[in-house]
Amino acid sequence: MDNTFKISSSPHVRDKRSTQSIMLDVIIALLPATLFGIINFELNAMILILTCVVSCVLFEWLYQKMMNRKVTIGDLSAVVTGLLLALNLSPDVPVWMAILGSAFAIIIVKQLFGGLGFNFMNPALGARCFLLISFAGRMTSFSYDGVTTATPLAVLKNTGDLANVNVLNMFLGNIPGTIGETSVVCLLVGAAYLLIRRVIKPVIPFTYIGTFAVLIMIYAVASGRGFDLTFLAAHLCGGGLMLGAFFMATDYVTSPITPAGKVVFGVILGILTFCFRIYGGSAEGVSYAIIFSNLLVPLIERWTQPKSFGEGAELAAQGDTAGTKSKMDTKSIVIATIAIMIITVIAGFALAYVYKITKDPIAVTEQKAKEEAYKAVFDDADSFDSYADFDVDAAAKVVSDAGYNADIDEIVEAKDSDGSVLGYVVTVTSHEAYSGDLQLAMGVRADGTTNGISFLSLSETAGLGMEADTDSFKSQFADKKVDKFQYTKSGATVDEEIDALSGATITTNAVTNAVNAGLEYVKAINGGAADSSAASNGGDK
Amino acid sequence: MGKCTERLYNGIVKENPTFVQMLGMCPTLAVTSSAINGAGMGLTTTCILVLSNFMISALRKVIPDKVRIPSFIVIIASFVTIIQFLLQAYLPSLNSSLGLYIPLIVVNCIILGRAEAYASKNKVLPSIFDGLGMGLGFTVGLTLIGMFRELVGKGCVFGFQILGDGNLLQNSSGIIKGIGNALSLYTPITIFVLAPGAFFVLAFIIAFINKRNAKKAAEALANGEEIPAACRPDSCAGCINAACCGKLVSETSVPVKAAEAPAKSAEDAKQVKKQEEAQASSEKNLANNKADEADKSEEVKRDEPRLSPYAPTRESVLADIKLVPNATGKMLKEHEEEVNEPSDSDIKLKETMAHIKNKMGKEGKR
Repeated sequence: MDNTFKISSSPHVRDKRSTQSIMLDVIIALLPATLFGIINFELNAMILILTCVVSCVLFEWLYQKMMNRKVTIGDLSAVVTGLLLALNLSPDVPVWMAILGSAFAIIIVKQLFGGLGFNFMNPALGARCFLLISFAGRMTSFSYDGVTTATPLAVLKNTGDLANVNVLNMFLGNIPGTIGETSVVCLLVGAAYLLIRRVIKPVIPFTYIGTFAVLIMIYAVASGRGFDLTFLAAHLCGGGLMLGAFFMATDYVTSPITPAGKVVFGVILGILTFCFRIYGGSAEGVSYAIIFSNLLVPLIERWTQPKSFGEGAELAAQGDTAGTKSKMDTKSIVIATIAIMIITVIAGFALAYVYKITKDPIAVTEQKAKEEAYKAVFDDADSFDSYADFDVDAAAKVVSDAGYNADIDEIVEAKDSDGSVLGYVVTVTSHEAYSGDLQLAMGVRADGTTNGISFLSLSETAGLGMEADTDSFKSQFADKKVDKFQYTKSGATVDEEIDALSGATITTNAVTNAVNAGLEYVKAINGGAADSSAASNGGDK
Repeated sequence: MGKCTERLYNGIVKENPTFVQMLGMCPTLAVTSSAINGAGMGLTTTCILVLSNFMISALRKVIPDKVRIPSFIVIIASFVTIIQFLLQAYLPSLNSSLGLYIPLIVVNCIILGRAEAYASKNKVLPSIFDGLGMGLGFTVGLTLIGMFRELVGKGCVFGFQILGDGNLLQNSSGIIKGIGNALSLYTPITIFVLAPGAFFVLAFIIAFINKRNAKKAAEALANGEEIPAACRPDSCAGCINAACCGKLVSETSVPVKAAEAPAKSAEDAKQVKKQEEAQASSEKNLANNKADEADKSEEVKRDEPRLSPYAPTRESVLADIKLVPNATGKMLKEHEEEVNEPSDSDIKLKETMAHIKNKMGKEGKR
């Protein structure tokens, strides 16, 4: 072949920097945070960091060998991915989880989509979210100095009290958290190095943090906290905001290349992080925010693409050319209408007939299902009769007065063979569940002791919220005489406390409140006679 | 192979709706969180598919062409509602676990797809078997995905715990208990029973199947055998790529056009012989039908692929053919130069052009 006239496609002017040198800079910038993580979390952190880096490089090499591709582990991008993944893990996760995460990051997120430059989301964050969804419990348990504690952000979210967190420690890094996110000062040193070396541009991190800070301040003022700079500082120093903003949101592959796009990207990141942290189920939202925004990058780029001179003019000049519409003649319209009418009428009659013959069996099955549910929560009762004085509006008033967002659908009296009332079975629908409403039947004895619950409809997330329908969870509501249940995340100690499902706080909350609403209503119809403590709530009936 | 068994094989293996045609992806991704849900959804769809294919095939001469889609939807929706009533009455547990997804069967594109591509053009019995085959293929696909997701995401198979803590093997004694204890170390990866897991599993299964098919095709071509089953001319009817894959051939036009093409090599002779057989058999079929002359003309008309406004022009198809690599990865053009004599692909090109010309003519008349 003659190379004389070989023409390559653009770019024709190349920078001296290579992928390898840029990745090396990122590694150097991450070193302070990495070293601090090792000092802070000791041997565990060291093992996890080494595992992630080695397995990421190994998986990349293995995949490229197997697929007969050029082996590119020399560009150090796999090392960066491994390092970032490790910095995003809790120091308590087992080694196999780190290896699984590395495999996911390198093989699924990066290589299957074409390798470096083609991945649609940050591989390390993709793997973090994969692990977070799969092993919610293990990934969100953090220990510090050998004691499992909540991160400052979680404390702030749950208690809402700034007195419980030490902002200076959050800045220095003496707090529980993932290996690399704790020390803001070390991360800022690394970020400064990257900015000075011009590896990253300041646009994305600063618009991100700026948008987030403005929203937090608006929220602080609006929620009656006032112009509280400590609250802002706690949110800026807590969680993975700094790590995410400087090291992961700025990833070349998964952030927009247009200048305006970078600003839009940063603003979206700030808004999402704010929403996830303040209104979301968990305390932290940086990784989900970045992954979400990564997915929006192609749209942002298309939207913010600069126009070349004169572009669009020819379109305006062209104008619309209306398409010719095909016409149906009258005869075929009439035939078509008649045909489809006949088909519809026949189908209607067929449906009516099937409805008629299945109406009774359906009613019988539904009744049977209901009785079974009643039986499950009141197994020593012989028969169930509907409660005579049941009034939906009055029930709704009792429940809403007590502050629950639930409906009492039905109440039946459970009777023994003599016909004397043993207690009640209440059917409650809660509107507070994670996806759709949940409906449960609960048995309450005449003296106010709970007799267990069973779900009539539950459509929560499989593996998380659906775990509510297990005996170990439901049995917590059985045989207890309490005024009100509440859930806890740190192990139930007294009768009133229910162990929350891991990763499904919202479901736990909905179930607990539904049961409380039912209890409230039973107290109300007992009129305070059986239970004196109910007088304050039910006495006005 | 009889027409009916051929339809069954076609639905379950050759044109499997989940893995080959990629139809009905909404239920495939949404309900396969466990094997039993997948199987339930598949079997319910099978029922409706058989019934709707039967009804639409029986009414194919009554339904006017212009309102066929609304009519099909009315028929399908009625059957779905009937099935839902029956499930509510007699199988309440399945009804509650499939719940929301049963009404969604109405818009499952497999059902409308089979009505449009097969039942509305063919006789009743093959249509029923086509529905059965497609339905069973869908069931197999869904159950497979569900089984895999359940195993990895929950450690269960059909609801029985076999991986992870508290698995069934631990209840027995001896060496089985030992295996059970070893398996109990497994931690279920929850993401697999959530929505993203469906995408992962589906993608991996399809990648595996495609890899196998590509290998088979390459081997077959290297051995000078015919094109593998997945891409034989007679399977184009249900293929979404029929218009652009460069092998645009409808069932009736193959034998005629191919017989006209010159047969030079031994391979070609073999192929032509096969096609002549096919022609003979199709003629036999036609002879059986001769009693009903009107019926025959109707059928021929309906066999014509319906051209959408986006149907390819002659130029675009020719351009596409040049761009599409054949099974060995070589561009057709290069191939031409190498062989320097009419090859398989040349004949196919001719056929395609003749076919398109034929169709263009008819379009004009219409």
